Amino acid sequence: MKKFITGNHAVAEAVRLCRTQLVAAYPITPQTPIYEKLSDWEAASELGGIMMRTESEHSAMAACLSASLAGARTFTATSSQGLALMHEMLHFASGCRAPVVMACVNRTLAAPWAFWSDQTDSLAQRDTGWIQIYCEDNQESLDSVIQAFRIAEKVLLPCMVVLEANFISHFMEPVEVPEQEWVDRFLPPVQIPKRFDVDNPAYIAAVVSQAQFEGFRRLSHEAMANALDVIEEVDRDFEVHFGRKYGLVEAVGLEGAELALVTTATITSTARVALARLREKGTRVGLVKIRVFRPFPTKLLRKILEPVPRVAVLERNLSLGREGIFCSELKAALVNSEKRHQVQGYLAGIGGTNVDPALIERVVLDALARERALDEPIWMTEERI
Amino acid sequence: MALPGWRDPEKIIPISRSSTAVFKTGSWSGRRPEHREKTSPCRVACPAGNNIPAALLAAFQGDFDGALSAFLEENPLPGVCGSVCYHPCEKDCNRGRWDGSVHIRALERAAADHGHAVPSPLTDAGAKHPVAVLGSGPAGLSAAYHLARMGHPVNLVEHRKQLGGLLRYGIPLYRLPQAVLEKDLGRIRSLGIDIRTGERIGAKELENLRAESSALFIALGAQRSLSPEMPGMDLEGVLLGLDFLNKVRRSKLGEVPGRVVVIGGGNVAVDAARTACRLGAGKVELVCLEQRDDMPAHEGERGDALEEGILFHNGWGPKRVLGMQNRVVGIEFTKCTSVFDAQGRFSPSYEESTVLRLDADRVILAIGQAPDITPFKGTPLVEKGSVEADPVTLATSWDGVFSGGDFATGPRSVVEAIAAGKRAALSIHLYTRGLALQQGEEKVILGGGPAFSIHSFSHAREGWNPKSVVRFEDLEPLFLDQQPRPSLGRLTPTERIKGFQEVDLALNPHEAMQQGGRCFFCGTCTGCDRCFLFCPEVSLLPPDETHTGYRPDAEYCKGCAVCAAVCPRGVMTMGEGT
Repeated sequence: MKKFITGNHAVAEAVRLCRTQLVAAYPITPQTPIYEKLSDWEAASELGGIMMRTESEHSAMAACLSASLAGARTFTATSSQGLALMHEMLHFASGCRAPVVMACVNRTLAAPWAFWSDQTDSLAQRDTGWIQIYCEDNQESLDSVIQAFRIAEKVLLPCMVVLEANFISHFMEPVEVPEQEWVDRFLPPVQIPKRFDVDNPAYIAAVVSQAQFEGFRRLSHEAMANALDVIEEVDRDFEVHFGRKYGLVEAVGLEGAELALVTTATITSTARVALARLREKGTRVGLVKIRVFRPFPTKLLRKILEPVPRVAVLERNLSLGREGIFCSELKAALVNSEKRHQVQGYLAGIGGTNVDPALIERVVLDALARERALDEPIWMTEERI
Repeated sequence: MALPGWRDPEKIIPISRSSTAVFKTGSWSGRRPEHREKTSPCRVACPAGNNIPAALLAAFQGDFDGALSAFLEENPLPGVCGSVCYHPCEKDCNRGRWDGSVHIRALERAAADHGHAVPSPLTDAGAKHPVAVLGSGPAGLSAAYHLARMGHPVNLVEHRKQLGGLLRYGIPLYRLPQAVLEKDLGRIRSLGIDIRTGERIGAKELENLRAESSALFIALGAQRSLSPEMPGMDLEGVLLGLDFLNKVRRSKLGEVPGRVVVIGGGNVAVDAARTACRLGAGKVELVCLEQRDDMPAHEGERGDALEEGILFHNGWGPKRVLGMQNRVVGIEFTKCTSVFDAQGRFSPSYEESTVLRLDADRVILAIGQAPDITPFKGTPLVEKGSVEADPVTLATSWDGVFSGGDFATGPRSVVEAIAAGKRAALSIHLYTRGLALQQGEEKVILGGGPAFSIHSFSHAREGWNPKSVVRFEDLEPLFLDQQPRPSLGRLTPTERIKGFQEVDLALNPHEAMQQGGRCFFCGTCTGCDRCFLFCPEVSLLPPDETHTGYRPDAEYCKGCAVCAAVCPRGVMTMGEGT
């Protein structure tokens, strides 16, 4: 059934359709409408699961983690400062191999205080051991949450579905909301290890030796590596059930391309329009959308980009003192390629500033004209404060 | 098919199914919690030494038999005390500093009303030592009761026809209903005491009784009303306070019409005034030397009297009774400027020129009572014209003869007389075994004394230190609810003066359970399990068949003191040791 809804509303629809047993959350802009929508449904006895209103995001994650260890399907949503506060518990969730699913609505991290789209909050959680999926629009947000539960519960790692403030969270789009029956077929009832069993008492997350710690980290890393296959397998099955497919990475018009423009999330939608126009004019440029950031689809990217000499990475985040985080990740992925690539990073949309087709055209033209790539990222917004 | 390692639930996180018992955390600390019951301040304040928290805990649980049993351990007259005691316990109640003290007196009465329990024997050690008790007022009854419980054959001698002394012949029915007294007396009789009523004891009989018994306790009360030397005392219509109350209790005086002036500021005076009110007096005035707040009568009694319409004239001393045709028509007072001299001795001074004159059809004098020792003159009991008893042992100079209560001290309260009887019982019991009271009393003195527990004398409680008192600061108020002290039901002043119906309405079982639940049970373990539940090491062991209290598991208790911190009533405290 098609509904004209916001991305937050779409996420909430997915959480309900997945028969989530526990939602523990704390309100924070711009995630709050997810929380509110789920609360509305709970009040109307339409949610099925339990809403737990915690006193902080840290506690929300602790609650999700505990419920997950008890065998329940759990969900939380947060943004920005809330995610930062949750940080310690993110490590706990992945370390305990608890398949918690979270929607992170990207928002600038203070200071200064702001409410706009910026990916640095979720990217700062890169090393917490969470699977991360970046969504381009409202439909993908809904679909990714449904996929996330199956992925997480299969590989026993937590999964973060990332959508951007305002552009997705608050903008309304037509969204296909699947029938419950089909979601049930795609996503079976939760079946994860129950760690709290009175008949088989155990102590978990105990103190371990150095060697044991390393051993557990290796197993988690293997799980992450194997998650790439699981994500693709789940995506294929999703297509069978719902007719939509996203992949780890999406490549558009790379045949014979001189330049690949690499994007993530909402900038991708604008880039599709800008690049179609450029290609009509004969510009040899293709598009690569990175959807899954952790685990990083290294091999797949290397394969896709193999024939393309020039790469431009345009992104809405920044690791201060280095560059855009996707750019660094991509450079690292390509460093062992047989063919050498010229990779240039571009920054736009930081703090939620607008990234329009004209700006994207300028990125493409700059990348094609550049003799050598700079180590520093290029700021595409011309005005300075 | 075997799961790959990265998905095998048993491999991906550290899971220990072995026990943490291997960590003997008990060796980490040198201090341990101690589950030690302590004494509540109400109990220390109670002259009878009632185990109030234990009794109230039982009442709270609806076990009125248990509540009555707890009171009977220390006090033979719970119905009487539950009705007339001036309840010093409530003044010292820790809950008084929270939201109003617990209605302890009303609960003692409820235990007596709703409980069915008989007094329990303490020991049979006294079997070979018969004791005679003279006087069956509260002191005599108390001594006889506890002596009988300690195995002594007791001979209780009363010169009136019935037992009770002041309780039967003095205290008005609106304060102590007949049925309540009879119930208490019935329980005392059940101990098999040899009761001889209607026997007047003179010097000769006293000597005989001394010869027949191992010891004697004399508690004949202060029955002799003092009367002032002043003109007009012989006029018709002049009565003495105790005689007046006595006549009314024996139904010898049915009504008191006209204007009544009562002289005196003590409890007998107030009783007389309120009784006169109920017998149809048109106007009742009470005149005394003391100012309102300095009157010896209990504050509550004074307030009740005022509510019932009695007029107080404070600061006046009687000068002469005015008569006409040999009948009282009035009385004259002079202004009293001070009651005591610089040394605190009773020595009123007057301003003779300021005179108060009141019309009166009757004058009731209740200016004090004294023991009547005249029958015993010539015996070793009376030395230099008076009877002297040691305030601690109650022994007189006559070997084996003890004296207490109002007979020894002059008029005091019912509960103090009960306390004296109990003290005499223990003192006599120890005397018959060749010991001084102090030798046996030491381990059972409650707080700083003088009250003690006679039950604990023969039934020592392990780990209980009667001298250690739980202060308000020792409680954990986080666990205490707010439940302010309610006003209990009473008759309105208009209803009261219609007759002799009891003024305070007794609690029904439901109300008693509710009021019992307000008790903090200071120093008494209620088995609430908080120490057990909060122990982070699960190393506090709950009571079982062989242990009555909670106790630390020495192998694992690391002395963190959480159990002591969460004990709401000061039972669990930190001690030293391993």
